[in-house]
Amino acid sequence: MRRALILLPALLACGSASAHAMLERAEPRVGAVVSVAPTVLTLWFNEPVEPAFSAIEVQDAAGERVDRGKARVDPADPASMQIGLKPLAPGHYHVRWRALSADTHTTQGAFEFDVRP
Amino acid sequence: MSIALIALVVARAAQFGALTLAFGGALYPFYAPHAVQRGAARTILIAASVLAVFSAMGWACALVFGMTGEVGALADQQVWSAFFFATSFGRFWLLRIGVSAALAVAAITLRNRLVARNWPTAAIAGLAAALLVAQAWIGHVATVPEPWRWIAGVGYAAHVLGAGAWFGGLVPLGLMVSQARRNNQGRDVEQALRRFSAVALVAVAAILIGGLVVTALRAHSASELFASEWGRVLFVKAAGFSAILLVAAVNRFALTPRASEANVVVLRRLGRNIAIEQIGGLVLLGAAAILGALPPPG
Repeated sequence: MRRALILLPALLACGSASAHAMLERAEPRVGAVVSVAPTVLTLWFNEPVEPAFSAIEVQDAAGERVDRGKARVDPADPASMQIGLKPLAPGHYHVRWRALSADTHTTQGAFEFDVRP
Repeated sequence: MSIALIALVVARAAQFGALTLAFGGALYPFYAPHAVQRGAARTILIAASVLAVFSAMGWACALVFGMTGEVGALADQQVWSAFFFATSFGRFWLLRIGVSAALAVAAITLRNRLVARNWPTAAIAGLAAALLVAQAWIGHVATVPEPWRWIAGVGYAAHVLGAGAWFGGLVPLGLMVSQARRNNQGRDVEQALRRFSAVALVAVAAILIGGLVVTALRAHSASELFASEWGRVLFVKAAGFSAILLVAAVNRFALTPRASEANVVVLRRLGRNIAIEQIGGLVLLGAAAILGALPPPG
């Protein structure tokens, strides 16, 4: 019993799992205004994501796709996902992402950023 | 709640129910061999094994629907190929569907030797147990960071096997009690109830300890748990579990000692309470299916 009481706080103190991939940060940052047009967009999640069913889509203000197709998950850092971008003109851009985690749950979200030289 | 989420919860609940019935039902003759209504118990075991295959396939379909957001994806060979071969969990799913099929084939082909203390029944119990435990690799446990993942896996295994032994065993036990009521014969019932109680005691301990370990790995604090939808469903599940324990305690301490009298009133009360426990078990399995679809806190 005493051992169980010691073990429980240890378990509580350890890193718990969110079990759903949540966006932790992005580059360009969420809602950022950047002066230099980025050539890639990278998203970092709180846990590894599955490349096969995860995706990023970037659109300009007119709704045209400005990304270079399929997003790629970095094998060295499976919690990050990256997509190449076409040359971006100054303007407003909309990002939509979808991430599948190892527990088979899908999360999705969206954010925007601006390019203003 | 989206259609994909509802489909996922229904498929998971059906899978949990099927495997619980198969595992607990096949385990029962090993501790109460003289108190088995073989005909009905066999039919239930076969039905549960067949349901295990269909619910596993339904679960996979619900996942693909949720991942793609399109019903049409279910007929797309490329999507299924990506699901099975381009994800970290795909091979576990292939194996799961294969083992579920093996369970159903075994139950059907060996049906004449079920449900007794023999190797065909042990094989059914073993396959169902493996499928119950393997859920850890396709659920929340899969995302627990190392080295805690193995501890979470062991906790999960104890939790689901405990639940399977208890709630699955209630079905052949209920059949036995209802048969005894018809035959006015209580001696076998009392012996079966006593043996079931001993197994249930170990099962309850496994459910509690396993559940506590898995929950501790999910949340940093009770307040965090209360604040999340996952935590609130968990508290409802815990309250339901406590209520079922009370009913089980009445069976064990008030009714079991009087079962050998073959008193119609006692056997009727036993039958009613076992039915309440069975319904409560179904509700808990439904809550477990919802928990699997919700994001835990943390």
